[in-house]
Amino acid sequence: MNSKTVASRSSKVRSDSGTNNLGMWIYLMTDCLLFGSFFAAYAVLRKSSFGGATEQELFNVNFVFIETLVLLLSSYCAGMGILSLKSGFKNRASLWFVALFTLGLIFLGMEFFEFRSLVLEGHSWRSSAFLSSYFSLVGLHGLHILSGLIWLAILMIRIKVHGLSTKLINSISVFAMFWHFLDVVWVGIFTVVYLVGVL
Amino acid sequence: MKEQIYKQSESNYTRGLVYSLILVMVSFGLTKLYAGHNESGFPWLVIVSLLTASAFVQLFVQLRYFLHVGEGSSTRWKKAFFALMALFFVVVVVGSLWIMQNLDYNMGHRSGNDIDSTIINDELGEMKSMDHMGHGTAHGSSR
Repeated sequence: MNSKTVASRSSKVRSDSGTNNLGMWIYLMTDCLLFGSFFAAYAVLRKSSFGGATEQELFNVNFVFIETLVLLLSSYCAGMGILSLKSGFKNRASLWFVALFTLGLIFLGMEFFEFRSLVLEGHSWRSSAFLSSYFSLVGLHGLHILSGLIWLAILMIRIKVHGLSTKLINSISVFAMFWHFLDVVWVGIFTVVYLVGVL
Repeated sequence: MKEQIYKQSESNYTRGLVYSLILVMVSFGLTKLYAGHNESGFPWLVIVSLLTASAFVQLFVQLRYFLHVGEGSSTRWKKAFFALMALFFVVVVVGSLWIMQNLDYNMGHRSGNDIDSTIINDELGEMKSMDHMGHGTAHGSSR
């Protein structure tokens, strides 16, 4: 395979879809494995409550339901935002991304409230192996959400400063991919941690 | 032309949202119906299987409608990487559960403090049953 063939192949990939986000996909696959190890730890330790509070006693399913809806909606906003950007509807796009940011902030706020309540009632990550693994798993996801929001804020500032470009649209669609991934992980978390925990 | 593409993709996203919403409501509804029951027993396994199935379906819904796997470029690569990751994921999770369950069983389901005192007692016992040259006798440790 000579360099001419390689070069034309890579440019074909880029022009086909406008975005080649395979790199982000590979990163997301490694992130899945990271979450996998935290899920495994949680599965092993969920019953080790050291005589203290258990899943049944601590988890509020209604609250988590609202959190889930918030995150799901924000993922929808990400998709619609990217769609609007690629179709040239810039104003609509910024509305979608502001909505995404707001919903993401609400999710984080709710999660922070949940964590705070637990700790204040005496159920901190130091209290038992179950709680350690719970805070680690859910906290890891929360940190990803926080990082995503910071990333989005930076992207929005870049748009303000430099204006929209193909490159920036690509960056934003890569972000949207990350955000969708976080919602997928949340599906795993609410099912494994909260739903099964409360049964 | 752009409007057309917009409308098509918009319906895709809306579909993804609606399907996901339905699955979320099914999962949470199912859980609330059966919440608070004990782990053992037939219904638990059924419910958990249903919840797992719902989560998997939602995974594929979101992969298809939100993450567009199957539409863009490099789809084959994405599927290949996903499959490899899934293999590693299964090995890590199932392997950990298997090993930890095995460990739990071998340690007699005892907790941390108990394990320490059991091991200390066992080793003291061994020391007592050794002859003055440090050779062990026929008995093994108590377990």
